[in-house]
Amino acid sequence: MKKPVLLLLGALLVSVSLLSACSSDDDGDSTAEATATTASETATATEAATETTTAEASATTAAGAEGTATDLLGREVTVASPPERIVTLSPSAIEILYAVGGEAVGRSTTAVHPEGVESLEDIGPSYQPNFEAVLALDPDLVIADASAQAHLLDQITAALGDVPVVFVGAVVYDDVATSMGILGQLLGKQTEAEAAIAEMEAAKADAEAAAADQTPPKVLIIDGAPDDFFVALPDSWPGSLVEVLGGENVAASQPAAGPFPGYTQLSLEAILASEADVILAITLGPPGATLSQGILGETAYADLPAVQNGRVHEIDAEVFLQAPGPRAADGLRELAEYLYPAAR
Amino acid sequence: MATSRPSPRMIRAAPALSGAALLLVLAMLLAVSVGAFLLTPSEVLRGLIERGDPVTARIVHDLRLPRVMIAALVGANLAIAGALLQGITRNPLGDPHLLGFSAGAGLFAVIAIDVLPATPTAIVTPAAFVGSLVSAAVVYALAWRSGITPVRFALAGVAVAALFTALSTAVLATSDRFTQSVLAFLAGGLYGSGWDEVQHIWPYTLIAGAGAIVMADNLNVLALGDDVARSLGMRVERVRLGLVVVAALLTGSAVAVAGLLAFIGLMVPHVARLAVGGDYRAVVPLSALLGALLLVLADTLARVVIAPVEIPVGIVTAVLGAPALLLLIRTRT
Repeated sequence: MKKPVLLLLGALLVSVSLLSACSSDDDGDSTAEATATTASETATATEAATETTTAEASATTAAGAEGTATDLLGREVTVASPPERIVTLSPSAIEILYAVGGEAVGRSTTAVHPEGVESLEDIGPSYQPNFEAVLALDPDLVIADASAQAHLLDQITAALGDVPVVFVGAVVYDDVATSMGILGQLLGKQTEAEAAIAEMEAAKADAEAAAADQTPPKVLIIDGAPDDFFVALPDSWPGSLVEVLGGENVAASQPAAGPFPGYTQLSLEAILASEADVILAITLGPPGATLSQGILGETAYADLPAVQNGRVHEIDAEVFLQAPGPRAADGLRELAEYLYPAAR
Repeated sequence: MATSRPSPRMIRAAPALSGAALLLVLAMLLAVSVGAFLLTPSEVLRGLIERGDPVTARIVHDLRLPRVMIAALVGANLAIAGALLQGITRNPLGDPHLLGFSAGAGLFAVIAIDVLPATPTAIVTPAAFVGSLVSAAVVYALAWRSGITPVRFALAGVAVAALFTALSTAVLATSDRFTQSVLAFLAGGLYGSGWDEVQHIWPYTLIAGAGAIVMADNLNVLALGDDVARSLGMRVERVRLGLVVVAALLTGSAVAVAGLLAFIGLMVPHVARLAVGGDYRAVVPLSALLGALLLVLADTLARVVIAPVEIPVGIVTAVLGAPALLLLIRTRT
């Protein structure tokens, strides 16, 4: 009785470690690289890559054959011929696709823009796409979200196998144009993509013109519910739009805190000390009082310059938070009015 | 020390074991058939063998089959661990979840995922196993006073479970991981499980499961009480330690793949005992089969109830498990 138990145990431990060691060496560091680099980090690198590949890609797709592009995660994506059955996994993905003249056969649950896409097949929420539903649509291209779904890269590619997957999206404003270029190449729709990119750049130029020679206001960007909200840092999506406009983000020196990269939480005192000139509020959660109403109704905030001067603005949750994409062009113009009302 | 020659009791268990095995096969076939769209059994088989229609083949072979296998392996692991722990503690509340084994595994897995941002899944399983062992060691040390008494073991386990769960929640609350994935881990879920995860768990199930079945007879002796077991010549502490390590192996690998999945380890061994009586040589293998069966069915429900959205399977097992357990307790007494 005595020895056998120990022996058995020893044998058991050794064999388990051996077995699991030899069975688990196949998944390498692909996750490591891909998820470690966020879209914004790779954005500059891929922009350069996009520019260089534009020429060759237009050459190949013009011949009606294959299209190749480097996506926002730095992956090379190839389609054999212009894809016809495209499934999108996030609101950003579908908006960018339609902006370059593409059409989808499937969409994520919350993707409701542009008009008409609600009638497309629902493949589940973007944080947990249902891969069976995706495959059931027999896609020849799947568009995933480079910022919201980078951590799902391995699961997505493993589940979809040989279906090409391209990661686009946006963490900063210029990512939208980069993403348009990528999809334009893959779809063989360079002309449409160039027009869409031009529109993004025109909006940026307008915004920069509005900001020229103006004193940059101190801006506080908040999202959430009246009693529980986060503050957007310059490297978040709404934060990046304010950066384009030259606004001074009052939380710029803060480290990220809480579950969302690019966002932090500020105490009431820190917000009062910020002396924000403009507050941009994004209301999330169940319908009811908006975040800006909550700020205006709270006496503690009454002395903030933004409150006193009536510069607390409610901005759209989809455009400025949930679905970074082409609508940011108009979004930028809207923000320019809030930040530089005198320039109009 | 009893021999493992088939006793009348074991022969009586044969129908229950083969019945459970048959049900498990049927449940797995059903699980592979339903999902975003329904497949007939013949389509499933064609997808598996001929790989005819590429879409069907991919869905059957790459999505549903690994997922169903994971559910079966995780369910078996947790149920066996539960049976072992109920035997070791001589306590009907023995369960890897309640006794802190899952919490330790969860804590180490969470730390591995959070601290090393790009942890390959291959590391998470050993980390969870180590965590499971650490919590077992802590429980053991806390319960030790010149030997282990089952009651102290159970109480120490509950305390350690509370502590490690709190620590995991603290790590997760300050983590910048996506909240949805965190939620799925805490509730227990199999979303996105593929062949990789199967690779990470089957060696544990096979070896630790076999170890558990081989050692199950010791639980029968332990059930007589430590004094009787000792007088029968058993090295009680050594055997108990061995069984604890096996339970930790099973729990750790299950948690690494499926998160903190409650209720299976607690409930399934009771159902098994109801069917075959108290002989652990029958209870352990039957628990394995029934645990697999339960999780395969629960995971199928989790996938299809509000498709295309999935509910974490841990919620299904709890919603089904809690009333089932209460019913069992009432009809038994």
